Amino acid sequence: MTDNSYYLKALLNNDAKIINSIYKNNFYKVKSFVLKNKGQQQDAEDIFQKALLQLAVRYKKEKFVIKTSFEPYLFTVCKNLWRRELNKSKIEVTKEGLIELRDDNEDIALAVLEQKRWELFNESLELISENCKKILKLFFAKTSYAEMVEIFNYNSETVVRQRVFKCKNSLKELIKKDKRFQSLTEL
Amino acid sequence: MEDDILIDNYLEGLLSKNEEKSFLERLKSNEEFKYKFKLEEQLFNALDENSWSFFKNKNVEVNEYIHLLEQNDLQNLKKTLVDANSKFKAKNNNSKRKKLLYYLAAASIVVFLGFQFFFNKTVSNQELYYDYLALNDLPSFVSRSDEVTQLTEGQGFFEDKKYTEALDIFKSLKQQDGTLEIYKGITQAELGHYNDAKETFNNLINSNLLDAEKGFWYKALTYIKADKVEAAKAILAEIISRKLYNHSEAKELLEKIKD
Repeated sequence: MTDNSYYLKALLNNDAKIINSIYKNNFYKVKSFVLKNKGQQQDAEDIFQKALLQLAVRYKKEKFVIKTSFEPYLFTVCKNLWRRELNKSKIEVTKEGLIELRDDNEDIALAVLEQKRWELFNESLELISENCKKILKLFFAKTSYAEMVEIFNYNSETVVRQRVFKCKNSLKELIKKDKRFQSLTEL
Repeated sequence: MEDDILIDNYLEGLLSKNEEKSFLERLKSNEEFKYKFKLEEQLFNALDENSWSFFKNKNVEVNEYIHLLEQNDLQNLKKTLVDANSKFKAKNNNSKRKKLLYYLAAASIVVFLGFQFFFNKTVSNQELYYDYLALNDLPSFVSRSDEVTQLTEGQGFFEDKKYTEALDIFKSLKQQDGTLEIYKGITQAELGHYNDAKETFNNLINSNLLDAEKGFWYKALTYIKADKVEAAKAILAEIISRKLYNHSEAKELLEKIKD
């Protein structure tokens, strides 16, 4: 089936039968990802539910189109939500050391915008040259310049730095030109 | 380009205290620099698999989503999702129970062969062991592209319950790998080599691997399989108090263990 809105519509129509099939076909994979990455069954259940609510509210507001098929897309959203959970402690601890509790709906709403921004960045990364893409993926994965010299057979770290600089600039230009950028920049 | 390097160094935490102070002052006073920094920071966090770029402003769009989420249709969807989740879980537990019956059947044959004395204890501890071991949830080596052959071969023997062959392979592999240690320990426990299994999990606990804390959980299970309930209880209590891997399962299991 090519129409990915089938599942999105089912969520908005609260179609229990299709929703059950979404669980049956996707939950196990998400669960095994979460368990392998410091999570528990309950975490996987929460993430899965939040992901489906995220898709529903986004579809309700803007009828967005999923560019791949539904299942890998849902898995990516779940993976990102789990990354988000794992990194939450970095931002939620206030000066007094207390964790700021957020309302669920607010949390889902923020996650929608974060997912949209992540998509903008990743789609732009796919548009730059193959060589730049490789360099930037290593750069953002915190690979050292010395290692990159070896991987790409460059003459020196200075050459790598210049490549990273140029590639990052072309990525940023693409991002800034995108019409989604204004609403996602928070500047 | 200098600003780029400066920003990268700040994001990677490489600036000295003084450099950081003047960096933060510049951020406050220079809008253009701030703009440049924000985008870099977002890219840096979003495109690194180990971090995440959070949205911090509760702007108009965020409020629109919140408003939509509060409406009846999405609140009803939430209920349907909760319902679908419990139905799905119930089904899964049923199939787990079937597996348990299989082990119970196997255990009762053993009992029939002459271990009647230990009927209650042996069956219930073995049953708990296999139920909580959840072999299906163990990570697989099959998906890893490197060193595929030996690891997957070992896993194959393990799944076919050819534990001696599996153990030979697991022991011959020298890499530091949490999952490998877990397979090795479970294999030793299956062969009844409880001391070896214990040692394997102790090594895992003392390693600096990401999976180190899982060692406590599997060590506790090994003790249960070996019918050393008190030792198992002590480790489970530790898992719970330190909130280690599987601490909620540990709590459940602790309540189920019979003296």
